[in-house]
Amino acid sequence: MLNDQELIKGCVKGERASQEALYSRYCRKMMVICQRYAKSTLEAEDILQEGFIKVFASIKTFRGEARLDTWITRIMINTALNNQRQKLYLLPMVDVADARLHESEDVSLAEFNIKELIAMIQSLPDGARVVFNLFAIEGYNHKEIATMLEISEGTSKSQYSRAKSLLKAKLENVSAYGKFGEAKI
Amino acid sequence: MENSERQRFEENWKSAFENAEQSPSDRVWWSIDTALTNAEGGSMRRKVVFYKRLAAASVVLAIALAGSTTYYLINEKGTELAVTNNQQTTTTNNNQKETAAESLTTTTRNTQENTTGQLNRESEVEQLITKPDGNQTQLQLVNNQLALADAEEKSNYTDANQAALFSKFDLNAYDPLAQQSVTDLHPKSKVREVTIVRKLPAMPASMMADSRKKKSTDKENLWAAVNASTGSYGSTAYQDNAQNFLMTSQPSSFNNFVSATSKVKSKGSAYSVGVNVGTRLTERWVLQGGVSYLSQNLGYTSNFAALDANNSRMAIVSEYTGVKQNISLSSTSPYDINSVNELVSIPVQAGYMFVNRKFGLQLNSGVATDMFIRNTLTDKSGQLSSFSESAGSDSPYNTFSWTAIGGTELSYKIGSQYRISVTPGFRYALTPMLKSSTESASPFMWDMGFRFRYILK
Repeated sequence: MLNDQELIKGCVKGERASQEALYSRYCRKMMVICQRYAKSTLEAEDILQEGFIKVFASIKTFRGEARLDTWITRIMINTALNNQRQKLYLLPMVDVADARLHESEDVSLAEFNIKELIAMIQSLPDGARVVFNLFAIEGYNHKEIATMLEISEGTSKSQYSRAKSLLKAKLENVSAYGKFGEAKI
Repeated sequence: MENSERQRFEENWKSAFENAEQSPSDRVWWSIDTALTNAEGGSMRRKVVFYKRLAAASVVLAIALAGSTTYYLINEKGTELAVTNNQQTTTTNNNQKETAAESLTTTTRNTQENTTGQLNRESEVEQLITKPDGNQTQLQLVNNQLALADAEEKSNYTDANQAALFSKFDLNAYDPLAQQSVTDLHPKSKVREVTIVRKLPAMPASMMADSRKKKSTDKENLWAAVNASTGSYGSTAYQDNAQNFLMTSQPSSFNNFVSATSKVKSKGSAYSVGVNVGTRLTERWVLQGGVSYLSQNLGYTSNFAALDANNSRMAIVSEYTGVKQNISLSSTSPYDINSVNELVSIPVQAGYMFVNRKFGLQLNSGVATDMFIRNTLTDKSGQLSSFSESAGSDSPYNTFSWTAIGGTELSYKIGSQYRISVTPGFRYALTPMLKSSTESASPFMWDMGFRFRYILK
């Protein structure tokens, strides 16, 4: 089995076998990322496809300063953001003072499988979904998110607050009914 | 409280997706595969167009070389016909003269009338030679008279250019229709020449961008190569050496002095094999040198032979008779000789690399020092022994001579260490190979070679 460096060399030379091997190695992990940003699986697959084409086109510029999967993840997120950019212009400008954080009891995610969690995220409004992903899962702060999305920091915070309250509500709802399938997400 | 809850909330989500995986459908890879193939196709098409242009440029260069060679050869062919006329009139045998006249008539249809005049003059020659006191003085008189007759004949052409046009278009000089045609060929007025200069980039912009990114490790700084080539070899001046020598065994009807003639054919063949090394001086300039063995093959027709110590007859040509004083000659019927010059050539060339990628294009130019090894004359019929002569003081050949060399090198890199090339090129003698002062020939050779290069570093 080839290591990442060997795969990169093969991809730089344009060897199709290396490209396929690289895709096979990282496509499942990247698919989850794409699903988190997309509204549907079909849309996620489109982002995944576009992202990997960018990976192969620009792999000559990969200098090995970061891990390969980190570099690919960044490309996938940028691709997803570009894909969502049109929708992000329509983000409602909500004043941060109006965005109230719901305080509720802690809900464990352990009882949910990954598909259920993805479904919850996908059910969020576009703006809230993107900000939630960037803030909660990718680890960016609101200032960075505001720069990335060309929105105000307040908008980022309010969108995140909205996403969080919606998710908590869904989690509570599901937990209350015991079964994910019986609750309306 | 709020902060800790938020932190716990985000950590829960982050850890939930930490090693999460979902399989995409197969259509994703198929789509990627198709997109990559299309992208490669586009890139390949751009490269194909570029290398098509390169190939076209090479073909144009090769055609230009061949055209210039042919031009020289055709020009010399005209000289050959004129020389043949003179040669035939100096022949003392009546039958030989008639045969020559017939040959002249068939090969030069456009000079049919001239040939008739020629035959008249030959009759005068015959009368002079068949006088009982015929000797060398008479022969000289004949030659002088013929020279005057030739000068008179030339003066009959009022327009030298028109005569050249008759010869060029194979028209009869005394045919009114042909004259009309030739008149029509003259331009009524001067055509204004327009030179269109179009500057093309050495390579597409996309490739230039790539070359800028090229790593220094891709450079070829030192290499060694083996090469072989074959091509056409010829003299730009037609040689017809007719000299009077004392033949040791001549027929009783011969006078003591007869004409010994060897005539060199204008075109032959050549091949070379060798090794060379090269180094890169700058990003684009390279210096190459080496050593190669060169064999040049020319045909002669001679009507005399040399006698060795055992009285065995050897093939020989006129070039030797002026240098070797003690050589004994014998007249023969005309026979074909294969003359092979063997040389060691030490070329030094500067090269400019227009393209240095997987495919390469390089122009080379320089000089070569040629060291003469040996000349071997072989009777093609096998009846006479071969004659061989090395360099030396009594050799008609110079030991050293200089040659201008040039050409292109179209190459393809294989892996990181090898490069194969085709190398169309030419060689033009700067100094004569023969010592004879009357020698005005400048041998020209164009060839197509193959080179296998090993990149040392």
